[in-house]
Amino acid sequence: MTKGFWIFDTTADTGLEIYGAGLEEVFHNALRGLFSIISDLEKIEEREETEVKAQGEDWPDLMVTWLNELIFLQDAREWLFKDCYIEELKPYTIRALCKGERFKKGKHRIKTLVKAATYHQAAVKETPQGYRAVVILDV
Amino acid sequence: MGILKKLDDYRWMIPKDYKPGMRVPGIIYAKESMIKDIEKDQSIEQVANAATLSGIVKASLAMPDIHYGYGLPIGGIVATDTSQEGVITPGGVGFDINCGVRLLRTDLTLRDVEPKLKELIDTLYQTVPSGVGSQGPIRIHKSQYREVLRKGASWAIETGYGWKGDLENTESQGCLPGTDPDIISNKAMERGRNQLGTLGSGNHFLEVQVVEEIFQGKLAQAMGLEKGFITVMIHSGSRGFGHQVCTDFLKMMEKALSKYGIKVPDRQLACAPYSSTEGKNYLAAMACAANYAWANRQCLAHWTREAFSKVFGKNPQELGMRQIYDVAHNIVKIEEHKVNGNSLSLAVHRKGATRAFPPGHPELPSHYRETGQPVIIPGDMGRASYLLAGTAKAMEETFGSTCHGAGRILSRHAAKKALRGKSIQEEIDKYGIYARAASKATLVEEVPMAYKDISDVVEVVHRAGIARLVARFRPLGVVKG
Repeated sequence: MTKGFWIFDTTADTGLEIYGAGLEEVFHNALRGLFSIISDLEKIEEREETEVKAQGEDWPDLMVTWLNELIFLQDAREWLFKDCYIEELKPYTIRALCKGERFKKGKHRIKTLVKAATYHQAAVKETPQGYRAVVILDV
Repeated sequence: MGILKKLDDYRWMIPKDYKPGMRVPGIIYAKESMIKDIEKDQSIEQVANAATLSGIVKASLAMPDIHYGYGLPIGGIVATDTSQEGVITPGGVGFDINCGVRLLRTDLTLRDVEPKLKELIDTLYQTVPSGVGSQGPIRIHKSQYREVLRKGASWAIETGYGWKGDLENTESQGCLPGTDPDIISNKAMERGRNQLGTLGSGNHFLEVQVVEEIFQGKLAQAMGLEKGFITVMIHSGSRGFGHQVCTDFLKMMEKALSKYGIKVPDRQLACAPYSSTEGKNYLAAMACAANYAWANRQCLAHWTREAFSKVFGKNPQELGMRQIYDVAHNIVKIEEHKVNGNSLSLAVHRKGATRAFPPGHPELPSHYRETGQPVIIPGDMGRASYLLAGTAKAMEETFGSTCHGAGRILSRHAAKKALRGKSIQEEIDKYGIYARAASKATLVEEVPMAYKDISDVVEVVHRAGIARLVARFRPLGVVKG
């Protein structure tokens, strides 16, 4: 499996382009893409899990809100996620069991503190190969 | 130069007919040699987008440090008429609410500091928490937390972080009125709880500098500066608290768009009328975040003084560590401005722009009445930073505003590439500065060449008359998150 996301740069910020055969895969890969920007995925162990829910007005809004929930958990509660099991995904809500661990000094590093996922050019679209989403992160 | 129409040597116009829905023209302050870089990204489009906002007066403005943002470009200024359905947009402020800069002077000279520079920067690095992979040292109870949000810098001073005199040398005396801690989400409260008194990452920094050149002797003297003396610049904001407030309200404003029948060309420009509940609530929450940021910079300044005291064996008063000023550069404020001879109450959004009030303005403390407001402009960590003063022309042309910093020209990835295999240390050594950072990646991304030359940016605002040059500082050492 390819990693399912691609990180690109805008002048001041960082963009996340996410791919998946289905929408579930896109939301899953979005989590991995986000935490590969914040820290090193390979150093995060799946030791704990927590349920994360988000609600949106449409798919792009749900994607932005999902990422912002994860950013909140990282910034406020020091969560680092590596994976998630999506329990429910429907227009336009998501409920997922997110797996990872809390930040540990010495074991993990914070490469980039992400302030927020923005609505700027946010998109979730169906493509011949599946789905593609784009979100620009304020870092 | 297809879109932009040259008005004079330092102003370029985007005509009102460039895009459907533009209510006013766009005006970008820049010199000809900068235009190519400005045209490279989508920032011109963003200036035009902002010109479609309901209630916008005069023009959608951009400063010479303009670069691509989301919603409004960085370096953008939008003023909306609060009495004429003017809107409030969180995208016109940005995520780091009241990100700003504080400048302290000292009686120390280069000769005093040079032999102890490493010790000083190491001590600052240990004393001033970065908040990257670490929490701040301040633990606050719920009731104290609400006081922080209500009172801003004065909370910090009453708690023992700083001098009373710091307040009058802070924009809005370090406190915006009209706060409402009750409308802050639990998430924002939680995110901000352990981050008070931390520097943050990215372009935030604490820098020890030397006054290298004085442009206006009288102004510099009035502001307490002399060539060869040491200054400290602190660049930080409202941390996770402000980021969460912006996130919360962007989502709320999204819903408000259909409620009020507002159409915006970019979702990140979601907004609501000033008089609406959403607009009023955002202003009250934004004021809480702005006050958090002023309390934050107040704490950072206090520990800076303590670190100096430790290294030089004198108390901060003996070291003459007076605060020159503190400015916000991501904020929306309700201000009175004259437009076409009429005095209007405007919501002035400054996103990567600094207030630059002129001599005689009633908001300035008496000792700055003749000089105009000190305007602190940080540059990249290698080259220079500047102190300017506000002017009457800024009041006439740009709602009393000017530029805020260097402005990025290279993306973070491009910055890494530009090093061409050289280590960041080699690059920094070239400038002769000593740097400590919690994250090496941050240091790489913030390499000086990633930014416009700050000297070009301040030259434009000085020559355009929307601020005047007072002094230039050369960095000696820097602490980064």
